[in-house]
Amino acid sequence: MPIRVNLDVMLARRKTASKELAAAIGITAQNLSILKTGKAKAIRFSTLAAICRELDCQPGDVLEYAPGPEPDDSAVADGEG
Amino acid sequence: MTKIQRLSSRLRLLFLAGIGLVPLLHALGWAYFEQVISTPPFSFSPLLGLSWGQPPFMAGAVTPTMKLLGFAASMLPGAATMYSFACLAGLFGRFGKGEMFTAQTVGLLRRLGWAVLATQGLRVLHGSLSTLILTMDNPAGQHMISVGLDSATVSETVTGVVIILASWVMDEARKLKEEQELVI
Repeated sequence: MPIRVNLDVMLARRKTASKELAAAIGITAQNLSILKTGKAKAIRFSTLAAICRELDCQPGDVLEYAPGPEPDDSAVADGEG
Repeated sequence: MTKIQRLSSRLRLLFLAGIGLVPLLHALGWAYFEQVISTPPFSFSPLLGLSWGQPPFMAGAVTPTMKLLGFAASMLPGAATMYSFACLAGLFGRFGKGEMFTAQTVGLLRRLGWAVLATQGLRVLHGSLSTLILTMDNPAGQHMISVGLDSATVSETVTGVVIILASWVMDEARKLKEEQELVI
């Protein structure tokens, strides 16, 4: 995925716990973990805005473009169809 | 959701029972061949592979060997039907647990479609084998083999194709759901 999420770096800089941020921006800790580990396919502007508000940062501090392989969306169960 | 889960759980039990009933019905059909074939309106005749309700000309009585071979032949589509029931039981089991658009449910629906198609192909083969078995003791020149399609075979083939198509649509829904789950 060419978009890297540097949320853990920002959390460390702001000395904020994941659970604390998740509660503050109104998402589950599980979803925040998906975002942190780079498994998320997209991020809503509202979520990004809430993260920036809570961590007092810019979107560019959280997201980074790093050229790499494109994601494979064709996760078909048995290859047919 | 509760309505779907409740009905699905019941259907799962029904299809699980169906898996056991298929060989039993085929066995009974062949064991009591004479009674089944002579009882109007021959509603159980397709079970024996005789879609037209009339047995072919037989010079003698139906022997136990014929019945055994007939049962084996009828278990060709019977086994495919049992597999269809197993797919349905699995599918409704997952629906009962609240699983709707997952790779497993899509896979089960797709396998069900192929099983329905296979059943129809095997049904045609079963019909031919049945006439061959029932006329195997006839004198030379009076052995018979028939190949035929009835309206049920045609309509169920269409059903199989529709199920496969529905599984493709369901797979698209699964992809959308998975993508939606990864939008934070």
